Amino acid sequence: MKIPRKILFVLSAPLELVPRPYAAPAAQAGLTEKALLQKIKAYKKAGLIRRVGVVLGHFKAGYKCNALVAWKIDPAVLELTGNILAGFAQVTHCYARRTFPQWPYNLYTMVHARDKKEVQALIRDMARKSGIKEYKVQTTLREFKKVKSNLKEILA
Amino acid sequence: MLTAKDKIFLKGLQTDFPLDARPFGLLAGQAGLSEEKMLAYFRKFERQGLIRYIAPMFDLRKLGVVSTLIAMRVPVGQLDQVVRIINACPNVSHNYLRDGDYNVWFTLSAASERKLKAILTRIRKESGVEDMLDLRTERVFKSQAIFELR
Repeated sequence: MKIPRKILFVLSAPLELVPRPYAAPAAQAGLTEKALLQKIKAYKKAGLIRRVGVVLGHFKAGYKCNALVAWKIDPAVLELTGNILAGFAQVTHCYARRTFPQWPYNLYTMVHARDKKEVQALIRDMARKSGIKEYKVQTTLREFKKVKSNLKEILA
Repeated sequence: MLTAKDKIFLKGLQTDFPLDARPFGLLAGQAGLSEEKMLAYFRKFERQGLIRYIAPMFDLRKLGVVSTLIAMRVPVGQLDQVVRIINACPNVSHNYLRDGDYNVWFTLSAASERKLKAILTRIRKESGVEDMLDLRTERVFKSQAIFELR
């Protein structure tokens, strides 16, 4: 299944807070509201859309501190360890990534908590439960940019 | 202040905003409110910054998009200039200052491997930063920015 560019770009804009938020994007895509909703459901079923939902500002939601933790995992247990770390509710992202001679870390997690102390306690808990000894914590100090992915530019 | 009810409500909406012509009306009916009241409730949260936006979240990989995480070691004196170059790129969605050996971390997406490489080459050239890791994704275990409210 492929999403036509026109529909993709129309759907990549946030929904307006109005009684019929799908009406304007449907009109822009040259579809009826009903047809657009059916397409969204089909894309969701096919996994092209992961979810339709509210995106929260996590700072306001009480998560004032976060860190990117880079873990060094024995490749033989990567699958198991990745699943253990991904199982923590405070972990939003857990990815295996390419390594470099000067940077041997192969698993990455984004962890979120109330404050630095809570982030540190959480990371210790993750290390204990997964048995990982070597890791590096990169606490986020400043947000330079955070925007919704600009599909029009990316796919241009 | 959020009530316990607000918290449960917002948690569920992160994954399942109604796919209905009148989603706010539907939610209002479930909560025993008017559609207008429900919209006012959403607008308040948006104003407060608790809700950033409501939208479909695409699986970029399945759309053929190539993405990566870049770590850079940027001397403090060059930070402003380097950040300006990175932020100006529309293919960059997130860019952060973090403590550690590598201090600047950003995510980059492009329509193809060739385009991604070309952007990286340009950023390297314009910024003059040599120490840069292209931390390409090899496996996704979880990618879900969903938060319990507290």
